[in-house]
Amino acid sequence: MKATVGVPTSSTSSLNQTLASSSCAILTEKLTKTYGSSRGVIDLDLEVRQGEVFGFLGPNGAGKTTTIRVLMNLIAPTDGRALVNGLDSQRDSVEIKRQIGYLPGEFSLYPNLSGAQTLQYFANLRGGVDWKYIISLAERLELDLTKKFKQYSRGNKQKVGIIQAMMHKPRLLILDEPTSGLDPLNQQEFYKLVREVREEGRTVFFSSHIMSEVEKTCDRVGIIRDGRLVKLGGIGELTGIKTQQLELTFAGPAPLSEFERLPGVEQVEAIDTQILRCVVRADGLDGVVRLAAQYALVNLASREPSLEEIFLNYYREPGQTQQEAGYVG
Amino acid sequence: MLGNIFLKTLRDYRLTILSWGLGLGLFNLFVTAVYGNIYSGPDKAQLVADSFTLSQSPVWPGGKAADLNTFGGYVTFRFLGMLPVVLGIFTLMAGSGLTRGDEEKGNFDLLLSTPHSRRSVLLQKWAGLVVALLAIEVFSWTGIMLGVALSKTDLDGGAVALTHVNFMACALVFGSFAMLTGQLCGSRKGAGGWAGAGLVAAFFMDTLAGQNQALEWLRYFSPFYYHNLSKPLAPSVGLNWGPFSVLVGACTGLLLAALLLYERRDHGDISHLLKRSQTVVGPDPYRVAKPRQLWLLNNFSFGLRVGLPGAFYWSVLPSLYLILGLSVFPSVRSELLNLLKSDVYKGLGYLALPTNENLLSLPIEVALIIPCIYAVVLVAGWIGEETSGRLELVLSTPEPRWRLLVSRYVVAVICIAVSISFIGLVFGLTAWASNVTVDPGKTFSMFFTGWVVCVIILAGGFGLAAFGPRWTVGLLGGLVVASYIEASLGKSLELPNWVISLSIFEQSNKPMNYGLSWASLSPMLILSLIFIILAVVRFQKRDMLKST
Repeated sequence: MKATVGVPTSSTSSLNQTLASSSCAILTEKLTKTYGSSRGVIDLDLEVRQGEVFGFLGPNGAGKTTTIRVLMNLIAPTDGRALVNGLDSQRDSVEIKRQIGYLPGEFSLYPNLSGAQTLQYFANLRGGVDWKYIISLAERLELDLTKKFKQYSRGNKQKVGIIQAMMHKPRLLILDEPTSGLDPLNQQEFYKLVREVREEGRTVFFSSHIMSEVEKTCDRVGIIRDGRLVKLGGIGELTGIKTQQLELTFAGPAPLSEFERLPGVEQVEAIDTQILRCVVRADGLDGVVRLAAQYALVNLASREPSLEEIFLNYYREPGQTQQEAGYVG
Repeated sequence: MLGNIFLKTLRDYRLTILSWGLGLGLFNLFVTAVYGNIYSGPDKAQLVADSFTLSQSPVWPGGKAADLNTFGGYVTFRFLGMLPVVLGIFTLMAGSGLTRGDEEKGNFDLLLSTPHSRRSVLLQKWAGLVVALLAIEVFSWTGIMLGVALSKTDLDGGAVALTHVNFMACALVFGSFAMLTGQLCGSRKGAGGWAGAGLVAAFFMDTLAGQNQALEWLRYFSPFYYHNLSKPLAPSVGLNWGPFSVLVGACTGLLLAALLLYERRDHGDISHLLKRSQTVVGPDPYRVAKPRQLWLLNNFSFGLRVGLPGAFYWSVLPSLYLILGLSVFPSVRSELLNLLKSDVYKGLGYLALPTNENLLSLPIEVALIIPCIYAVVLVAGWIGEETSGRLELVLSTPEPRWRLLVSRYVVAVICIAVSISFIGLVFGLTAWASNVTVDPGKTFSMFFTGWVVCVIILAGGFGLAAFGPRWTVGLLGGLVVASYIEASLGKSLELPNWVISLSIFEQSNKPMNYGLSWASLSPMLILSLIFIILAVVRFQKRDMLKST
């Protein structure tokens, strides 16, 4: 068979795609889901690599759960497609479910079954699970398996959900707001579990609102807003595109108007006559240093923004300040 | 409408008021208009004679016939006797949801955090229910009065209103009873089930038990008995304040008992009166042994474990009904024979054959309505799996959707089979014990046909649920009721034969007389298969609902 050099044939192209997708735990291409005239997600291109912990961030109604439900084939995409471990989310959904563990954002279970019975039922539906591992997870999360599901508190119900998602040691964990309802001690234990999963080379994809847990546990983050992915990158990358918050103390009066005219400089404010505070983008930093050098400087303090500030930056409406967007830190 | 708990409760009932009110109003309009017209014509004597024959029936609701020669007495006996049962079903459904249903949904957690006492919350909700019932009765009253105007007959509006006051007192006894069972049962379903059992028992205590002197004392425990002692539309009876006061007293007593238990029990828990002992937790609640129950093995065995107790519960009432019916059968046999000769029963499609099989086909058909309702409930249970969010987790396992649906359908079919087999077995044993001779083959045919009717209801329900789970139960219930009315009243209403033949109940073709009719059953079984195939195809593709 002859093939034109340098121009991939359709078969080699699809092979390359398959190879590329198989190295991804999750790959979505132009994924769109609409509910009549309502928006779900639009043109979502997402790539979650094998062996990483991926945080999926977004405000309520942004499209996080819709994305997750498409991956789980609970709903069908209106357009585009999603691959999970290289398999088509719709066509190969049964095979996908063998390889993943899933915790929905909201779920219900059988009220009269004990925690142990519930987990054994789901273990059987997965073809059997090492009971000792279930016990160890229950011990670590302090879940009383003898109680009936209806007797559990919200946090304990969430633990049952977490254990059923993790008990069969899946290649990929898809968790929708997994720490919701957990107390701080159990949250820490959950983070440990996530780190262990990553160390074993398995993948975790979870949605969250809690910046500190994403910063602590994730390798990469995707931020979704109004159904569209607004940012995708590593934690370091995200905190790298950031702006710097500078506080300059001058020996004399602070040259406020000159700083306001500089490109790449925002939110210039005078704390008092000698102290000036501003937010500087990477491209504006050189100009700020050069201008500041023309004056007698007493002190210069720089602070990197937290992921939370970056997160809020992405959610902020144009012209809205961080305080207006809800940031109080 | 959001000013306080009472108004909010009333607002929540607005669709219920409209659907029940319109349903009852239109029914009343229809019967008073049509029968009023006939009653004022030359066939009045025949109508009265038929009603007199019907009054001998051991299962006819409404108590003794009175003043059949007046239109008020006639409609009271012929049609209005069923209304307290219908309104009782409404109040028991609403009453069981009033505390237990709201607790299950989690609505009460926030409501009770507002500065209102439990007593105030409960009484405001109760008042909402009473006003909702009143609103439904206004529709009902309007329907009767419009029908009267159309047929140019004469009924006093005040007496019709008093009749509805009597209905209300009777129905509210069941509403209060349901609220009481709500304090003693851990779920709305359980509370509604027990209250429903109470209503059915009360019905039979008034009708069947009244036929047997040894059991007649049971009537005094039935609200229907006290209700039927008042007939405001029958001039010679009117409203009897004594029995009416008994109903009001019973309603108040049950309401107070429910209130007392509600105020004293833990929120979300059942009253300690019937509370079981708590599970003793061992020293290490984490290190529990692996559960070995076989029913946890897969979705099919799990479904059977969840479904089979229901199959038993749902067979208890029709079994009791048949036991009662068979125990009085020898004494009412000749009356039943006269009854079947009447035009009314001929209109319902019954033959005047003097065989036990023919005479018993009516009570068996009535008993088999319960498994049909159970089939609709099983469909509702399947939909509930999805709307409650349980399917979300089950479908995250490698179980294909088609297999899950088929296994749940097969479970439902088995549950119905178990239920009907149980009823059939009880019938056979009671007939044997009561020395009532029936053909075993024809009896089997009757119950088997009943099962096939349920199978198609289930298949239709699963099929509809695959397309629109949110409206399935309403539509399926409506179709089953319409189908039943078509079969039972189609000839009386002079519906075309092809319309009547569409009814699944018509297809059963009186198996107690003719045995199994495969010509009728085969199309139903083939249709069931087609519905299930359609359900599988659609369920494979459609979006799953988020939990509500």
